[in-house]
Amino acid sequence: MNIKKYKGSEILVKNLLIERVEYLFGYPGGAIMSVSDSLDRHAGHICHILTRHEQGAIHAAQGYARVSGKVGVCISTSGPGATNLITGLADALIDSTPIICITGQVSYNLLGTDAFQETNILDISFPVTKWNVQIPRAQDICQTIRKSFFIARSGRPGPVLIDITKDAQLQEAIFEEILFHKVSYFRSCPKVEVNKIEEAAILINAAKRPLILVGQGVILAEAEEELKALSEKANIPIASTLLGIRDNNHPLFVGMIGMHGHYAPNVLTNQCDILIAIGMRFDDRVTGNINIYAIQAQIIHLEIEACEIGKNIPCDVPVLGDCKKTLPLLTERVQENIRQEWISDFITIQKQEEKIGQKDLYTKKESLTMGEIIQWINQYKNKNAVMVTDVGQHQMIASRYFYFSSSKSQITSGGLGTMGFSLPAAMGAKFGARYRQIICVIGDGGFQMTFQELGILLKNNLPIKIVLLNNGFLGMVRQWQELFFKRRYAFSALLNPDFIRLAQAYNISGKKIEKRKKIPEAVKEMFDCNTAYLLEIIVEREYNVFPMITIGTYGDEIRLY
Amino acid sequence: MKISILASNIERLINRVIILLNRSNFSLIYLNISYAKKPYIMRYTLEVKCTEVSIDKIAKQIEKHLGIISILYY
Ligand SMILES: Cc1ncc(C[n+]2csc(CCOP(=O)(O)OP(=O)(O)O)c2C)c(N)n1
Repeated sequence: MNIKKYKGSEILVKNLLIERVEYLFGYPGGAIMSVSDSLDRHAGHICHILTRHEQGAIHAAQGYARVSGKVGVCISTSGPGATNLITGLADALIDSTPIICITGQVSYNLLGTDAFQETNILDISFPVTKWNVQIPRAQDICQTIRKSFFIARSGRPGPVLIDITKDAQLQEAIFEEILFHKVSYFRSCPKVEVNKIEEAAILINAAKRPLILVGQGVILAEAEEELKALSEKANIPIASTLLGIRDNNHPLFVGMIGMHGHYAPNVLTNQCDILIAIGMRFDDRVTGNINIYAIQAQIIHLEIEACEIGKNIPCDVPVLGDCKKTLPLLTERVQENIRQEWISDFITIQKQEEKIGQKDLYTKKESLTMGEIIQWINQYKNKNAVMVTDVGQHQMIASRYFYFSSSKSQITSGGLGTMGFSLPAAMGAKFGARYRQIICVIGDGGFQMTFQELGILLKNNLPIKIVLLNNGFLGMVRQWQELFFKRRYAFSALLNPDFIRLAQAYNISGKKIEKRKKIPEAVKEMFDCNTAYLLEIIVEREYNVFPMITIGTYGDEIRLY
Repeated sequence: MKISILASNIERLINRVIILLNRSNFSLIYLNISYAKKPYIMRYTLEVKCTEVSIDKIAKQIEKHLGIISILYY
């Protein structure tokens, strides 16, 4: 019998189709042309989105993955195409985003000869991938692709890079459908230990002032309902990290913790008796000085990855496992409780915080604040809108004041703090959630890092709403210079182009606003527009984000102004 | 500290181990890679300069990588 053989690149695309990849983001080049060609032949089933830079492609794949919960895919050529992915890989690794990067490579017999556009991307990308692998022969493609998807999405998700040599793309081999349920010698998800859950429940039942801290782990595990069930049964307030779950409609969600987090959860972290950390990793931007962080509390840590337990903060009861499974087991074992006094402590401090908020939201100054703009966005946005923010002052303000009412509503670069992330991520997110409104809040600095990706909009009608908060500075850097470097504004002032004309060059409508009374109308007009829109708002130049926990060498306290 | 690792014979796996040690600035004094008794299984024997507390954390990070079967240190 004659078994049909296919070209390597064709086999690759067939595997992507089996994995139900609908969109992938990429950029062509010499070492990946055969794959591009095969993708084009399957254009009816799989859509290749041409970005304008490989960094844009990987950030778009991240945005897609974060909003949809699926694996994001991007492809690029060898050499410079591959190295341009590094920032995105590092970002996806630290923020646990499941993505697959496929890079072309020179032919097998040219490896190690400094061939044109050869770069040793495997060795370069080791520290920034969950796994990486080279495919030197077409017959290995099926196995490796399926295995890569399995690894990317299992346990704590992360980026996988697949480097495929040019000859492997061209050789012919047999296509076979391989199923993957298990990879040997790979601990994707630890076994649940019920005795630890019982220990945790005893602590919680005895606690007077327990506090839950949630991170992105709960979103990745799709365990939001399980989380709410625990919190509601025992009346435990939920504070969240930047990437964690927020729900402004729910009375037990008390806000964001961390350097620029909400005041109440930050203050009360140091007064709680039990801290229940779920799917988070005690980043230093969350804890500040670890020597004084929540030292009065006993810590219960629900985590999927053993190496996160006790990494930064000593843990009293580790509960390993997928929190989708461990949370219900814990909820079963905790007793109902009212905890009136503890909850009212939050309300008291929240009232104090509102006073701080007055300055942000109802300023008496002539210049506009970032906070009031987010407030107007809340007024006119759709209920389930997704906010994608870049990195800087606007990120902190937007996360603090945005009104969250549905899951997977915030996409931002948390662990790595990658400026330029948001614009491509917003485009990717629109592909991942066609029917949700996507709002991209971005600073004038971050916008200029990746604005070439506006080019994606020339071909694809993506009605994303870009809100550019222009303060003429690299605002967050300037704030630190003001506070810690005696106002020496070294290299942080920006001379900016005309952003509206720039948008026009890409056929994007836009408006620039400088006066307070024009904001509501402009925000409404932006949301009413059924294509992409750039709203540039000139905000106060020297505005500082407070409250702020100054850390490390700068002392440890919450600065309110 | 001495570290003994059993690992499946995946190419470049030793790189991941060394990168993790490097990240925390452990200096490597000795490294040996050999076949273990079973087929397709390798043994890495390393000696590094570090404290017990720090090796404890790094060992957990090494252990999570695909292909690492077990890790011992003393
Ligand atoms: C790629 C990258 N380079 C540098 C930084 C350091 N950095 C953090 S915030 C910031 C300023 C951001 O300025 P802008 O985008 O204008 O936003 P703003 O803070 O003014 O809201 C800088 C330079 C970074 N996070 N990422």
